[in-house]
Amino acid sequence: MRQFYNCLFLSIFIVSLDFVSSAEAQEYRLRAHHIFWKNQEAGTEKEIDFGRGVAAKILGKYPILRDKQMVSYVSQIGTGIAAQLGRPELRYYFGILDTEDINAYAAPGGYIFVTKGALKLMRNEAQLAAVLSHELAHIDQKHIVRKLKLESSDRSLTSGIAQILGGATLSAKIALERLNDLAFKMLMEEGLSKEDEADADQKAMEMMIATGYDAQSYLDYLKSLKPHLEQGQAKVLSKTHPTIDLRYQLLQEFIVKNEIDKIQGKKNEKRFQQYLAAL
Amino acid sequence: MHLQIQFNSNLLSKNYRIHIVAVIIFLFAPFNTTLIAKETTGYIKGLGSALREQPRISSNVLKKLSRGTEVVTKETKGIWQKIEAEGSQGWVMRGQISDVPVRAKKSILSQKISLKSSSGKRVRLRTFSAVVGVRGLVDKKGQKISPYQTDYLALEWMEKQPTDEENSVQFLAYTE
Amino acid sequence: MKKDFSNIWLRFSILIFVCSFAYQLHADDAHYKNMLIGERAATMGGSYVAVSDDSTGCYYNPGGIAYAVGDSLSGSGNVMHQMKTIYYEAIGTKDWVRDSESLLPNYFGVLKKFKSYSFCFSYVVPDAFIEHQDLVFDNPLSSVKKFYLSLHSEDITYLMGPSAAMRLGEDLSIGLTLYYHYRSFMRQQHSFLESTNGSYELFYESKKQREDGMVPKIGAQWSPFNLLTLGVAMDQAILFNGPFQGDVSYHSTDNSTGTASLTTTFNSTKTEVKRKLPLHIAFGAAYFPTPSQLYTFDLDYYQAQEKGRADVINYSGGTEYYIDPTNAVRFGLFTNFDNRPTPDSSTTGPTDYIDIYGLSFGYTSYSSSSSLTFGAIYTSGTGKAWLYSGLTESKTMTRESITLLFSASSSL
Repeated sequence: MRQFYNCLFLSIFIVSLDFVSSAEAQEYRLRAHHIFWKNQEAGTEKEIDFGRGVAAKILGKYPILRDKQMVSYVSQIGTGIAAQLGRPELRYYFGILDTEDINAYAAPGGYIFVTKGALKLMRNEAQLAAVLSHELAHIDQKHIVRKLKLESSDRSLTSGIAQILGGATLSAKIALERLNDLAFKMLMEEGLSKEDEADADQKAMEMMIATGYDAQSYLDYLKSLKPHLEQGQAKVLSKTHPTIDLRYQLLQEFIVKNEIDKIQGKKNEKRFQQYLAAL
Repeated sequence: MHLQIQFNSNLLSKNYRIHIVAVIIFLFAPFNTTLIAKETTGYIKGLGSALREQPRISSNVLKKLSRGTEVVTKETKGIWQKIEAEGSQGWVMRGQISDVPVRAKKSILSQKISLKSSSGKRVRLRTFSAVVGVRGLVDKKGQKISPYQTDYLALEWMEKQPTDEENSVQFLAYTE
Repeated sequence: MKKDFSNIWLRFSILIFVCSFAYQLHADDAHYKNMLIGERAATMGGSYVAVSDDSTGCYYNPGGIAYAVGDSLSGSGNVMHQMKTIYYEAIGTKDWVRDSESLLPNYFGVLKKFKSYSFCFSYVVPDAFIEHQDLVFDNPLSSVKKFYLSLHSEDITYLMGPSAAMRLGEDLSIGLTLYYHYRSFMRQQHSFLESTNGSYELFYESKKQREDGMVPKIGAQWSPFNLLTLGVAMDQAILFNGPFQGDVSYHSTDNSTGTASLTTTFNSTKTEVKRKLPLHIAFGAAYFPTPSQLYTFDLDYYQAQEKGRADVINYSGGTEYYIDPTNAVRFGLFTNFDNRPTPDSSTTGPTDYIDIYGLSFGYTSYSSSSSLTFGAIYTSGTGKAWLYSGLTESKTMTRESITLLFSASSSL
């Protein structure tokens, strides 16, 4: 029901936005490449701007861990994966949240967070790669943006995010802020759909294979989460993600189907311990 | 050669040629929309994606394809995608291909907006949503729109940490 | 006796041919559209007056640059430009084949926008004729053993200058370009003729000319209906000067009469040859049915300002089609008619008359901030030549040219 009201509220705002015609005269002159790139660029820009607001809220909830060495380690692993399998037009930022809670978050536009609690639970670099890849997949697949219907189905962002967030009027600002809150709530309370999470799991596993990591470590990490779900350290995670058993089962099927179990990957346990020893 | 010139000079008077001009222009119009069919093209997303002989991670690497390379996508096999690029056929992982052309990195961080924060201190922030976040946007009734806290200083610290794609890819390639 | 006469006449005619052609070789100023400029424009047959919404517009219609989408920097060059002119049976029974080749960057432009104003600086080479020939004709006539011709010429016109345009409301814009016109011409020719009887003739000539002037160009664009634009542009070159220097030397011996006679002349001239270039008015219409299609048509009217020229109208048409947002193809057709009076029975040499038709094709690949264009232009024409002074009988001539062009542009 609350979702319904949110949607209604949003629709009203979107409709009431003043579409100030910054439209240049003679728009028919614009050639296909102008329109295409304009939409793409504007869309990406708005997506980053939007995601930045969500990221600031995540950091409003959890303090950031200002340890340059640890952050640089996480960031290099994440950037290395993103450079090969992420969206080339985005610059990705990685942060460690200073909390014992076990979770990881991705805000649209390239902002990825992993908690100190989650890092402590991990045993090796492959597990870190797994968690970061999962978050990267959310950004790459624009799960939040799509769920908020900020992007239209034909991927022309004119009718989507760019148009909603394009206005500089008060109502546009309010609409943006409401959307930001919705995205934040989705991360913290409601979660994405089961399908999106399963999709992110699979994509993450593909990323691990492509970058040479041990795919089994993904499952090991999921397994190690289980006792904490009951203890409450992963309360948010259990609220926002499908059950571990379900994710485990879906991934197992995926592994068998694609013969991933036959692949030998690296774990880089020593390097992981060395960089994150101070935790 | 001589024959052709004969043909030109005899048949193609000035008026006749103008008609041909007109006819070709109009002939070209339907050609535009119907005959040029779209091919399924994809683009390499990553820095140096391996093109493999077989759809297996252990298979031979034929060559490395650089970011933005245009490829023709063929059949798929699970997580593998057969492509043709730069004259060779092979397999890449499907996650390495984008269906839209690769664009330059977009950053919105150069846009700084100055404003006075609620405490009266002059701050410089990036992006419009940051401004909204710090000001604590209020609606027409004077109520705060968002109930959530923000921390843009922490965010800016995070954004300032250096990253380098190529170095990171090398760092990632390390195996114990 | 008859044979002697023909011998003398033929020898004389070759000499005259060489000398008189000097004037015509000056450049191809008998045609106004020898080189197509720009990327989109060139590949659409130079039909751009009603489009002109990028820096190329400075040359075609400064009014159009007011509608440019953003700031840009662009340049283009001809990777290859080859022109081949054949005069049939020009020297006795031999054909004379003339080749011109050039490899020139022919366009460069920067465009900046400020609200409803656009400013642009452009550099254009609208005409370039570069010829290097070393020809040997063995026995072109029964009385001539060898005829050797060495010809080196360069004739290049440069235009450069600023443009400004402004929008007057939604559907009307005006613009002005002020080009500095500079033309540099030089030609050196050396010929040698050896008769079967041992007589010979030597001829050497060197010519130089430069021209300075201004070309103001005004243009406007108007959109009477949605999807349709009309454009008009007008220019008139005003030349300030045209200093010309010519040196000719001629040396011959004649063995035909039995007693060898020797003739030697030297001649040097310094004078002013100021051309009167035509008034040029271009009309264009463009139709933009969808973002991936465009049709454009131009009519270029040139009003002759000097003796020996006639008014001429050139037509051009082009179309553009985007296969997808990153790939576009273009196609165009154009005419390049001779700007002299149509020849009739009273026409006497030396002169020629040739109407030229051309077609162009191009492909552009777009990325988010830049574009690359490859194109090809082919022209062909058949005409008549009266090669020798005083001759009323014409011979066939043909001209063909192929240009490969490459251009790049980047948004700023």
